[in-house]
Amino acid sequence: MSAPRSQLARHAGAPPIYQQIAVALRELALAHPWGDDQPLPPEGQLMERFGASRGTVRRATEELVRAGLLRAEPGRGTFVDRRTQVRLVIHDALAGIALPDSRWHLDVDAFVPDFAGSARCHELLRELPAYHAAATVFITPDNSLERLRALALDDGKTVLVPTFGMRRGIVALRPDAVPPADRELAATLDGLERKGQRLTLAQLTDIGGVDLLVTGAMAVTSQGVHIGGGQAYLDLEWGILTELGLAGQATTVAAVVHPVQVVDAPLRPQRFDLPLDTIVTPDGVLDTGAAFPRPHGITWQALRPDLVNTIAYLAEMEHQHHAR
Amino acid sequence: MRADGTQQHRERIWAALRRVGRPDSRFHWDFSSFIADFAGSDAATARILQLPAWQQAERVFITPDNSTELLRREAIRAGKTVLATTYGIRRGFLQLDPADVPPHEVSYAATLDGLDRYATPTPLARLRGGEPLRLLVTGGSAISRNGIRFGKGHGYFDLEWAMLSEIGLTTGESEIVDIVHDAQVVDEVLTGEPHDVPVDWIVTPTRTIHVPDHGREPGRVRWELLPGTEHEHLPPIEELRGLLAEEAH
Repeated sequence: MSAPRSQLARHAGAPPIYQQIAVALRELALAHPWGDDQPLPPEGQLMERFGASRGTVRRATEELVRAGLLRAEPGRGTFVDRRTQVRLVIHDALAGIALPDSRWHLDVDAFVPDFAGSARCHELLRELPAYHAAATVFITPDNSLERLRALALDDGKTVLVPTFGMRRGIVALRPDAVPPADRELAATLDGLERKGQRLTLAQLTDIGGVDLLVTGAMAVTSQGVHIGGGQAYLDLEWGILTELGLAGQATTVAAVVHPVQVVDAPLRPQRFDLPLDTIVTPDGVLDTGAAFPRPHGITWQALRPDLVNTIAYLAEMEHQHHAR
Repeated sequence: MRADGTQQHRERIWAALRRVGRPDSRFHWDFSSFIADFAGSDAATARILQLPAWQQAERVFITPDNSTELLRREAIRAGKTVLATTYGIRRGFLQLDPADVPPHEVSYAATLDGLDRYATPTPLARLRGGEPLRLLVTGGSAISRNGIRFGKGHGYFDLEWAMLSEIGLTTGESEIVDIVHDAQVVDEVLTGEPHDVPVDWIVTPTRTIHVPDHGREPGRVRWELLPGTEHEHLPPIEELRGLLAEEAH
């Protein structure tokens, strides 16, 4: 790769050279083609391009390795971590389309935003055979799915919604308990607090089964890899549902996203990632081919201990697990 | 941080709120991030409806707290315009015209999620020169007997009062109500700091307490204190800076 020598600011008061190189390297990494498995240019080339010492270039590289964007493989080179790349690229793209949240505003690291066109997604989703057949629909607490919750109630479905971050468990909205006039409110996160029924572990187990799971995302790949906001709530929710026998192979898993959130990156799911069957954008419905296996249950040894005490149900489930 | 132990009061009151408070849809029990609704907020709201200032006001400023949700509902029902800020003032002021709310969505519009749906973002330039406010209502973490409130510790209400004063929306006739649970009233006389805005009324589910002689002065933005704080680049602060610079010309 032969690029023109980069101009770095060297006047008094300019940011340190290694930081400027880190910014340039970040841009280079984010622009790296999805399908390209080549490493970044070797250190020598970067030294020449930036007119900087090996130590300075290395310091910049190490900063991006710590941030998870680059991965240094001894003897092979420095590679772009695709998952982080996707997350950062889409994070930037969301700035143009995200609608603000009542608490988080446009901090899209903290929540999944609604976008213009989500109503069309809900329409398309309601035409899916899996939706028609579903009695119970699990819908994540993402703003892009707000109206879908109200529509699902209108369609006679029981709607399960986790509280934000699963901190206070899962809330049930039942069409016979939420009259039509209350459904728009009940579909919001504030309304869920007032109109929903927060389920105990026993009550959740009694739900019987989840036929369809609908989630938002930070990004998805067209092969069905789901990339959340970095907090892996979906994977935990899926782990809990499958551990309790409420979801499994028969459950359809669909994501509702804006077209800019769909990328063609050849990512593979990580160990606990829940792959998607269906991706719905305002432009249409994409069948992913369900090429990846689904995780099942909670792997207690792998669970971060702090989650057991902050995520609802887990402490009680772990207790039952060990009592068995 | 103040020397008089307001942080201890705050923590003691957060412990009490674990019993009588209600969690937030995003922040759960993290009372440092929001002003909680509480058991009995309906009774406290009903007390506010008895105040002359409420009955006379056509427009009410209400802070975006969970404890003021029921009052927003009453305002919409009574045909009063609700002036509010977005959470943390991050997206400035909003104004909710009750005529924009369909009758069956009044409860929805009164929530913070609903405000975002039904209210209109309103720059200070459009508010300036309007009829001054007769009533402002806020929630708080804690309040002293002499009407010194300490909220989430961010000073949002003090800043809101200052901005509204700077554009002429407050006068000596404006009254401020703090709606709190009884457990949030600290039976002490606290010395306020210069930027503290004492309130006229402390309203709880069981009591309506009038605070006489609080000596409140018209608000003003203390520009010298803003640099480096979370308030420095809030949209209405940026706007006000521009408006005042224009006036000075």
